[in-house]
Amino acid sequence: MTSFVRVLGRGGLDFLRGLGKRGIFLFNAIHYSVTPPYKWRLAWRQVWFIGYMSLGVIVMTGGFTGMVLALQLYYTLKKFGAESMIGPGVASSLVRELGPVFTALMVTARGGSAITAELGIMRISEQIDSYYVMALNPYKYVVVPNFVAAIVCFPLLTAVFNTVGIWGGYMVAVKLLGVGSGVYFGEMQTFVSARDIWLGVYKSLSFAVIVSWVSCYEGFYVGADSSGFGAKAVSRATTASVVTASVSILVWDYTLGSFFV
Amino acid sequence: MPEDIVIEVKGLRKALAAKAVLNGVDLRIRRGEVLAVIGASGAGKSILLRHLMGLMLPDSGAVLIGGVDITSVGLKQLNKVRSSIGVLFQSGALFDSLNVYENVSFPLRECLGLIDEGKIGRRVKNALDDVNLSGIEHKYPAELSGGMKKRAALARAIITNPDIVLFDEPTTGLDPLLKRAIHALIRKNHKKYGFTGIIVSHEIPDIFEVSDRVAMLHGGIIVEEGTPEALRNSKIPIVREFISPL
Repeated sequence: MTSFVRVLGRGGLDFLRGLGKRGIFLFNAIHYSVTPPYKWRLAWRQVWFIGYMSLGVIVMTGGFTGMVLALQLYYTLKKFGAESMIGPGVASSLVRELGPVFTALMVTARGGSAITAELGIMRISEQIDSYYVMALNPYKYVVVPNFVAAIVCFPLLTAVFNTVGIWGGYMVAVKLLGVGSGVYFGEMQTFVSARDIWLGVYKSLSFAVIVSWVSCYEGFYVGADSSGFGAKAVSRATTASVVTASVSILVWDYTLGSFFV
Repeated sequence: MPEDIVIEVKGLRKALAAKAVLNGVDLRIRRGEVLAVIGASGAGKSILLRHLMGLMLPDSGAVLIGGVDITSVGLKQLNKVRSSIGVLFQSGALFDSLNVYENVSFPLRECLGLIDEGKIGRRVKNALDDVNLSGIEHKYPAELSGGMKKRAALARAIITNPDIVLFDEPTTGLDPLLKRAIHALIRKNHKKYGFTGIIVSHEIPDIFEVSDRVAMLHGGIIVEEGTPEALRNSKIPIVREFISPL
């Protein structure tokens, strides 16, 4: 019984310690993001990596998500004779929910995992230590550029996802299923408000913080806990990064959604 | 602290995972000398070096560099001390995403704030010449051999003319010829720039040729310290066992 309580207590303390470390990491990342010197070149490189290099996967997933949405909505709405609502249905679902969430999940899988692996390798090969011994702040070189790039890229990628998704829905609804083009776009303008668009923007910005926070933290502190060191620790950190970021995105999406229904 | 003592380690203790690694290490290093810290793998040599870099805090004891106890100062003062130190890491720790030129010029741009490309280029060329590594400026660390990586890292460590250079097992993983070449480079650059050096190594007897003094770490303490000759004539069994040829 005593050992059970001890294990429980140790687990609880480890959890709180981890939470505290993550909190301090986020605070430092935000603090160093807004204080000079600014490393614009590094931030630009990460914008290229997180943003531009993710365009392909965002266009693909956006297009097919819009197509699937239109297909499913058409057969459901047809039962009620409300096919005209297919445009607003596709647009509203994409702009409010699916666009920001899917974009964040895709960037987590493609960019977040890569960031964790890169930082993890930098940690185990003493590259991060070398910033410290050169009297430099490693946050400025390896963390802040990812934060800045994520803040810039997530809303833009979400906008691309939404646009391509609406276009995909148009192809299915109008070209395949025969819904009128004017109906598809006209009703969309009536039912999708600026508030919906802003909600999507807020969501994508908060997901940018979550993904860059989790992926940078997991890589930056590879081997700091009992998960070992070396290649195995990097592999574990990369998995933990993707799983934690993905679950956090969905939990935070529900939390935000419930406040802004 | 006497004026010619640049680094002083006092009663340094550190335990990792409830196991004592350093058990009261005392060391004094004079200005301009090269001290080799030898000891078996896992003896705590690299842990000692990490304390000297300010990357680890001891459980007790002090590390004085230039009279400043880096275990109890703030980040600003610690960074001021770090500015006078160059480090050659065991892995080289070259930045993967930068080529050799960018790696070697990195401390000039980021630490010294140099922006004159001509001046930077000349200093990088000199540093690479110092380590016999000219003509590979455009290559990335992944394209270099182990010995080339070590030499590029050495160039980066000394390019700012630091007062102190720390070497963490600089020849690990290299063949005997390359080991000798790296030791010769350390000696040559020490002669040229006159830095105070600490080399953590278990390359016996090669390391005796590079160092002015040798200290042996065993059981978390310095069990013997003196000139290479004194170490060779040591009466302490563990020292004799460690340095005697097979």
